[in-house]
Amino acid sequence: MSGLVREIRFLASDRAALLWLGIALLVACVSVVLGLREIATQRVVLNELIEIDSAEREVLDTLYQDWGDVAYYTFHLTWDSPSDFAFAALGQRDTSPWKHQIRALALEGQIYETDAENPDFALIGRFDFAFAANLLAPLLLILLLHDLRSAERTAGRYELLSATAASQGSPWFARAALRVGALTICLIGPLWAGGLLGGAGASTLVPASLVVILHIAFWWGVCALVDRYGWSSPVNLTALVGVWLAFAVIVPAAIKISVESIVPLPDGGEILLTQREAVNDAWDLPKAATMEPFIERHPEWADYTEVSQPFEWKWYYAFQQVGDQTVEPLSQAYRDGRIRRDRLAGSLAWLSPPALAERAMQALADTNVAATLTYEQRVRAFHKALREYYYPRLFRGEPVSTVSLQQRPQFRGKES
Amino acid sequence: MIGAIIGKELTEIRRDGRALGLLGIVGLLLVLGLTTGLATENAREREVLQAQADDAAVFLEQGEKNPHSAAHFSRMAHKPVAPLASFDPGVAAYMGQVIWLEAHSRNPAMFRAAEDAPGLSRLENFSIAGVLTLILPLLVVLLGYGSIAGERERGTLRQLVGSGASPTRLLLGKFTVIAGVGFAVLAAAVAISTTFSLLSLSESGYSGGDLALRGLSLLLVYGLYIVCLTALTLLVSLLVAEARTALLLLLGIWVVTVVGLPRLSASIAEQVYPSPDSASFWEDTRASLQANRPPSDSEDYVAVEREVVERALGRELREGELDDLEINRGALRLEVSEVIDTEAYNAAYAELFANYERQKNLRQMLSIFSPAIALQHLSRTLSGTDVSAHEHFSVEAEIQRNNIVRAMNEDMLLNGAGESFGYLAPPEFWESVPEFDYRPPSVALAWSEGIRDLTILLLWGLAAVAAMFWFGGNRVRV
Repeated sequence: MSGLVREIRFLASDRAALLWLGIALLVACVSVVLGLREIATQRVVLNELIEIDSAEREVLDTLYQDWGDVAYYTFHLTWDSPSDFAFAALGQRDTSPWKHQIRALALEGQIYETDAENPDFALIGRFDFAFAANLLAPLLLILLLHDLRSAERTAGRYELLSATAASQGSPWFARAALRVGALTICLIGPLWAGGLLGGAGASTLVPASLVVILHIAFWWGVCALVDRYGWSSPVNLTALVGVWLAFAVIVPAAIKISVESIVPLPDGGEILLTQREAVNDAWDLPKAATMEPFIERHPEWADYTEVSQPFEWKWYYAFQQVGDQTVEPLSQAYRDGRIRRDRLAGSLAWLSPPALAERAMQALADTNVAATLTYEQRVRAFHKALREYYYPRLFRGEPVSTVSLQQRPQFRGKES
Repeated sequence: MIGAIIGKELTEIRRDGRALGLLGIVGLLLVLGLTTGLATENAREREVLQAQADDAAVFLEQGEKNPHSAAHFSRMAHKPVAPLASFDPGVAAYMGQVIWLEAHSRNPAMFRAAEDAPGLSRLENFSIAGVLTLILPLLVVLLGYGSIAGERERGTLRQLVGSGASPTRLLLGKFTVIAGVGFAVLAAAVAISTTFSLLSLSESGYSGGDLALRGLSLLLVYGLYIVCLTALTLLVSLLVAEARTALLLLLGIWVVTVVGLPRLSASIAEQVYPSPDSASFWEDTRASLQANRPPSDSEDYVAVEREVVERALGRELREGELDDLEINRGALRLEVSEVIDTEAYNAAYAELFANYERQKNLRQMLSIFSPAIALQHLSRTLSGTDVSAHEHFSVEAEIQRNNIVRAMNEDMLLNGAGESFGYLAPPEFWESVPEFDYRPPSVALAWSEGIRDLTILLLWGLAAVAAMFWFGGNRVRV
């Protein structure tokens, strides 16, 4: 006990250590506050959009007497609500869209919508807790631990300290453990405070804390390993920063390059061009050329394929669907490729603890690539439901009615 | 005397295995960055050229078609790869690279490579610019942290000053060597990158002269960064008693200013000037489109009608002639709506880019705490991979969209009288629709965009050098 008190006093008198711990606490607090504000903003935006979306539909529903017009002019908001833990790891939410306005037209032209966020900031990445804990904290730990033994060696006290402390256990372990513990508290404290404020439960905060602890423990191990060589403080520091560069920058960069070359993706522009070509060509093709592939997919409307007028809505929506059908293989290959890329990156991330910790945080926050793809699938499912709702009304030529409009599918946000 | 100091410093660097080791690592990383940058950007350029060719072929071979139907199909504008993207890819992966030039709608760019990237941590966005911004400071710190403090600890500083070396000359010699090593690394990186870009310069629209000027400009701004880093490193080495404290302090400064602050400044700027979400952006744009459309019997509407017809005919109309002309009235309505809506679209996009600019300005203010922020801005601007370069492309693509849609509408207006939407343009008509001949902005525009960042970097450099000589002159403790 006296040893611990002595180490606490020693730490309290080490101004440099207190500075690094203070920076760690500040960084963690700022990252949590910024993350919470970002998520609060996203929620406000979503609530406003949901309200506008609903109000707009109410107005539009009174304007049109034809299902073709209703389907053409009515937008439907789809969205991916942030989880209660998303404040800690904003992940892919700044590069991949998390809301769309969908119509019953061809989906492939709508789903790759680009958001209006500043691309400069997407490039730099967000100052969230995951960044603070996974990239900055290891550096601060290195600054805290690099000279535990080497400073004493330089001061000529190392042998004396080792000898006098031998009966009470190694002072180095206690000294390091105290600093590691303090740093971990500086990180986890704000995380829990933010988590409780943001509504995240213990079921998320406990594994997230575990990720932080394991990651910090890894870097403690690295520091201890380097310290064993008996180098001077500057050499230790240089070597440790080199290790950080390798694990945090070089290995992830190598993973990215490898993954992208091992798993090539179809060009996104090709999907759009092919779909656009199919939809555009349909205007000039005989109506049967559109209706045949449509009926292959929807045989239930085989008896309603006669198009006698130059323009009929059912034909219009049929060629929109055929446009999507044409690019289905490309679109599927694109999606499969993204899944394969993500899985491969997940396996290779074991080579880089910071990248692994980042991915673990994103998975807990539901802001990873898998969450993005799941949302995309939900948009596709909703769009399919919209088509299935409109087709009977379009093909049978039913009149627009309030009762029928009330049966229209509504997008439901996922439960957080 | 200064030559002797420089010689001594170079010998010490040669003997310091760590400095040489890190120099080797930096060199290796630069080669890796260059190789991957060139491979990625060359592949992207090939894709762009192929996509352009495919798009042109499909458009030209569409046969007889109603021009308005073709205007909905229209063309794609593919953003050329900036030749120095292999040096600093900038926001290229985070902005769409293709704009659909569709009638009635100014679309945003689509398909961001970043969406296809595996989810890691963003620090993996590896490039020569990234290596120079993040790792070059470490090289400078390692070379310089012990320059004064180490000499003082060993007692050799007293010897040097005692033997007649003035502290200012001593500092100048050390500064020259450390900055010189950093500059040599930089010059090699920029020269190789620019040379490879010059060799692979194809149909991107950039000229060789412009590219060379961009390379020289990058050399200048990164050179300023090195001056700043070297002066700060020597300043800290001057002020603290021990070399290890200097190293600790300098690495702490690196963690905060190079790793932490660039991200923090971006998050602060986003909080202060939030980017509009796409749904709100389109809601607002649709509302302003509605508000901007005058009634079809209003004077404003008739004035636009007149302007459209006069432009199509290439002559002024006589009083009352508009009502009697045999033209396709449907096409006239379409073109009038294009002209009116373009104003609203341009205003909406101008406001979006103005908000990006406000965010950048705030980040610029925060670069008083970190020169790395100003450097990041300048590097992307001079490489032609920043948001302003994208805005230039977006504006030019919109002009092209207007030209294409106008050509379609005018053909229908003049040749489709009485046929309404049944009019079909002949197959050879599509060849008369102008191609998109995009000329990227010159380095002059990049400099006008980057002047404030350059001023900040210059002030950082001057302040650091002045402080170094101020504290190093007669105040150096031996």
